[in-house]
Amino acid sequence: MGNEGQGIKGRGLINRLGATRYLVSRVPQALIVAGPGNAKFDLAATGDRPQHFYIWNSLGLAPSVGLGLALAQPKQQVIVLDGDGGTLMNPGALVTIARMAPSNLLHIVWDNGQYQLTGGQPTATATVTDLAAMGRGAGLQHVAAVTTMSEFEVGLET
Amino acid sequence: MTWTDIVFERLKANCLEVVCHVPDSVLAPLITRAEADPFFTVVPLTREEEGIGVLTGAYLGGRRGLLMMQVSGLGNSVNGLASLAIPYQIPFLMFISQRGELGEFNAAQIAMGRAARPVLDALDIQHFTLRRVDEVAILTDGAIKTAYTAQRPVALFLSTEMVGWKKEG
Repeated sequence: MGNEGQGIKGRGLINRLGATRYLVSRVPQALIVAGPGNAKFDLAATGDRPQHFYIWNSLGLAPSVGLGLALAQPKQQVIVLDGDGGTLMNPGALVTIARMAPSNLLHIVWDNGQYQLTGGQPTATATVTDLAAMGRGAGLQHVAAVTTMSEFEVGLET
Repeated sequence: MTWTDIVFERLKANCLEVVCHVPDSVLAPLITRAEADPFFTVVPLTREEEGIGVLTGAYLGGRRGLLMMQVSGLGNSVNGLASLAIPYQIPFLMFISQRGELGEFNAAQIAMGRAARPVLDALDIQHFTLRRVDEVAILTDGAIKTAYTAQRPVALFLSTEMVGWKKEG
């Protein structure tokens, strides 16, 4: 199984924009789907490219879009960039991805424990919920929760 | 031929390869046939709204598909249709088994069964209804054709007149 899931706990230690820039330079050929929220603004800030897909309002559907794209284009690397808010709105997507298990899909969750765009209201990951555990429980084969940029870089290589 | 045979054949003829579904007893034979045929990529969903996302991604990747669900699932899909499929102009077929109309025993099925067409009308999504086996091929082909021309989902309802209705218990 390939990289079906990767959770990133951004407890102020990983700069999301910096990590996005690093990702784009490390995997320039990847097709990237970005969910509503800052994930897509940061992706656009790295420079708009035809292989980006920005989702504006369908919170929760970024991983589903990524799954469909990965299944349709099995030879392409597909990356989903999403936030904890989106992941919490559609946790079933983790299950569906685990079940289909495409080897070309990498799912990155920028977890800052809040709905940043609506004023920073905390999500459940700020207190009680562990998305990486949910991902493993859903059946994803490779799940990492990283808290530093070097862990992120190592995680990408896996 | 049964309606299942005809629909199966028309899906293949129209290259609707990606089959997203949440199971329903009326649709079960069609799901089973699709799973057994390597032509199709069958994606079992936890919730129907995911299918809007999966079909969007698949279409971005150059593949056509459909979302098979009971009409209750349409209720679960509304924001996906409104915020993703429509503004991003993603066509696909929604193949929907009707509840809440003729012969319904379950009171909890009535409201969404009745609201389905008004909801689609409010979203300006075209819908057609299969009532007789002899019209299944032409309506299926026609609905698919219109979806891809309009770059918009189109719904095809499977009426209980044609498929019968679930008995209580």
